Amino acid sequence: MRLFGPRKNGKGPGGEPVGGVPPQKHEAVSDRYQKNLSYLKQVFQDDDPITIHELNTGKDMKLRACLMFCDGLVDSSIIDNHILRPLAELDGLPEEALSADLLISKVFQINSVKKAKDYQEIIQSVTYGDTLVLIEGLGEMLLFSTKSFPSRGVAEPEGEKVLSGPREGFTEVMVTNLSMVRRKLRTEKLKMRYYTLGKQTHTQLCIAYLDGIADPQILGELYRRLDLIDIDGVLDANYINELIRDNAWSPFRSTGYTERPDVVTAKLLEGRIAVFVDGTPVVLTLPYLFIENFQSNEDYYLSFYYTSFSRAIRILGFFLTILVPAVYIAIVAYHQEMLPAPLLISIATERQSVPLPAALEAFIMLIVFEILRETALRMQTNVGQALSIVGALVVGQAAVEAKLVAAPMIIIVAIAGITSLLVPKMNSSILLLRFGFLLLASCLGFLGVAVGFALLLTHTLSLRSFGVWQLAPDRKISYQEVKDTVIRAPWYQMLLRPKQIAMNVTRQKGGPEGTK
Amino acid sequence: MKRLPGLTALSLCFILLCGCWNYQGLDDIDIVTGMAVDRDEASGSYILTFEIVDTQSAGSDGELETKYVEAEGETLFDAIRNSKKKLINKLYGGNMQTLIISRQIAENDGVSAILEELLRDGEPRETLSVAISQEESAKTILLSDGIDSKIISFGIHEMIKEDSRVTASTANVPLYHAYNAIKGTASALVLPVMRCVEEGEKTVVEGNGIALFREDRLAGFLSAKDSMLYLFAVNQLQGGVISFPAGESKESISMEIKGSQTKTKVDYREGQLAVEISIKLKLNVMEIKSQLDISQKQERSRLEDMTEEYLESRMSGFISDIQSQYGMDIFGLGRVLYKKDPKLWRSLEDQWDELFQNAKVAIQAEADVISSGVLQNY
Repeated sequence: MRLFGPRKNGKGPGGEPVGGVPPQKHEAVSDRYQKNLSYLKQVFQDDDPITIHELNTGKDMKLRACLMFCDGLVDSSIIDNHILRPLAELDGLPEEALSADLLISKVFQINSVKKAKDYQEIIQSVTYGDTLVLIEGLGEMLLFSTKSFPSRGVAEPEGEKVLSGPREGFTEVMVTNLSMVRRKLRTEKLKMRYYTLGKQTHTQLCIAYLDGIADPQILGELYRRLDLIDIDGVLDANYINELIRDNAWSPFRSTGYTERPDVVTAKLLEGRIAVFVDGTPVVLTLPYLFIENFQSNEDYYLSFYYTSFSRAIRILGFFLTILVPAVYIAIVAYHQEMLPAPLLISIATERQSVPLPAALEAFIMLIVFEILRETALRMQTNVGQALSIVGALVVGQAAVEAKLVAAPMIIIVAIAGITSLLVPKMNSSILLLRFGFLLLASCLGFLGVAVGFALLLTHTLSLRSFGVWQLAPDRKISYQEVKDTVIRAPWYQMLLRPKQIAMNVTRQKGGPEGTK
Repeated sequence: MKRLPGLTALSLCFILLCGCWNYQGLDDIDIVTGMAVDRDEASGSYILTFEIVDTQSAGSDGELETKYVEAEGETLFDAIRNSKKKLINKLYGGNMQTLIISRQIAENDGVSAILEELLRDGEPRETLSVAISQEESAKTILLSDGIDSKIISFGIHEMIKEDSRVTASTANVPLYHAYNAIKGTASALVLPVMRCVEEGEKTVVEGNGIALFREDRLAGFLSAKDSMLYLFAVNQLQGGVISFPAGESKESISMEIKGSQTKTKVDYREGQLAVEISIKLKLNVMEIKSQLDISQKQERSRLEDMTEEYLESRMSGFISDIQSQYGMDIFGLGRVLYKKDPKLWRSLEDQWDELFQNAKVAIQAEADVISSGVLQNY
């Protein structure tokens, strides 16, 4: 069943471009110095950080040259020592023999030089920290890589802390991020391909995968979807996530995200594809299986007994957080006979002289909880104490003592709130599901919960990520495939990569079970 | 995505318009824990007494109190509905645990109408305990003081369940069992009996054996001691105490029953019923005053022999008492025969009471003292 109707071709993410601006025709670089210079000056009009440094050099100071770079994005010492100085000392070379190749090989000692092909390339390069060198009489313009960005140090990501295991996290500079993954995967099979996206931002993406392990079909599908994107700016990986996802309206994710190089490396090793986005530490991984919501990198770094247990706890937590308020309301308002007598009496005693019906009370308290949570996220750190006092004392204790809210409701809200923290990757879907179930339960009792669960199951079973079934594969599941799902088997037992993702599934040969 | 708003609106209609009709807030119900059924001799109308948990007065730390509501009506259902007149909230019977029926109703009108009404009603559980009051009225039982529990009904329910397991002084007969026993083929109804006794300044409830029924009418009572023998005969004994004087000195021995199994065979030959009841039981020695050295195997088997002898004589005495005094098959022997040979039973159905009265009953007991409780070599 398709909950949200069929997707029309050319609409929404993965469909045809929504806008309609044709790609700009790239203007070829003129070989005339003055024309180039005046054109570029006009392009960068009213853009003061773009520095244009004109100078005369050559034997009799008649050779005109010009440097163009963006202040703040460049390393001045490189420009001074390796571009300006050799340029000023050009007098040794005969003017007639000047050529781009000669300059690159003999004069400038910079490792990354390219000849500019069109103005668009120049504009993008200069605004990305490259330095453009124009020399009169030279047919081509030269672009030198002089990038030097201010960058945050490598630190442990706030949202993905671990007790044990690698603690480095990605930064906002993509090349640094790529280097962190490259250092862990020293193989020629690691392919990293750049891709530029965003009509205004020209954000660089990098699509990384392990050649021979990742499925080329999924890779092709990723490129197809990226090609269809027509957006002005990409500031975070979530822009890409929402634009390339399979089920546009599903509350569940169809790509994974992480800020940790070790996680990206592990996903690459399982045959997944990683999409790095410049300017954000968040890296997307795909395809995304449903079970990844419950997986954590620490699962693989700690004892497998312990982590199998904590995975079970996370799965339990997911069900608890979406179902506990709904089941409570269903029982208290419709199916009192399901409670053992002493429990019923104690809840009934608490519910006496509470003004609101239980269902409304549940809605209000859950919204209050969400308000508190959101406040905690948005507020300045130095008022944290005040919030917890207000949250715990005023909303909790005082409300119960004043008989505004029944005490069991506070417990239910607390359970729902605490357990939602167990699966942080699903917080958006949890919010939606919890309120959905609560609405169904408060109108239809357990029948509503059952209906909701059936809908949830049909929906999650129909979810796909890049053509891969997210929850259950459409074939018989082998024993190997269960080893990294609800349990985490010891490493010597996990011989295969995920079958539905990887092209080459053999991860380890031999082991106690022999080769597969 | 054009379908999404429509779909959402439609499903909200389904949910909000069809839902909520049986929403029942916990503060809108009075939780009934027990019910006593009496009958006014003069007018012949039913008088019901409900025990209700007083959730209003109970604070966060206060103990639970109960309150009582009385209602009168021509029929049971009428009386139940009449009770609403006095109350703001609806009576909620889903957690009712005890039904007490006065002995007058049980004797004169029979219990099946009451049981049927409760089974038809959607709310009460089929597992609630049914008990017969030995007092003036069933209400007296419900209004007595509890020792452990303020809620008498819950106390009675637990008492019956526990007593049938631990002391074998009563039979645990939930509502659906009671009804099955009335309607079932060749089975007999028994119900636990409750009475009030003085305990210090309080009047408390006590189990007092079982009540015997002919069809659904009260026929007589068995004492708590005889109840154990009844449970032996119908293979429902789970625990209890056997004590008897033993040895030359006639000092008492007490043993705990750890398990028992009874097999009943019924044979019909030439107008004569032959019943064979064989009991296997496992015992722990608890108290012993005689000179028996039970750490010795020989002595233990002597003890076993004495137990068997004692039990056999008690059982055959008890059964012949039933045969002569009541003359009705309370042990469900007819059912044993019915299971074996339904046709034969049907042909004997009419003269069954007579056959039972003249039946030859052979008792075979096999006791096994599993533990002497004596430490060796100390």
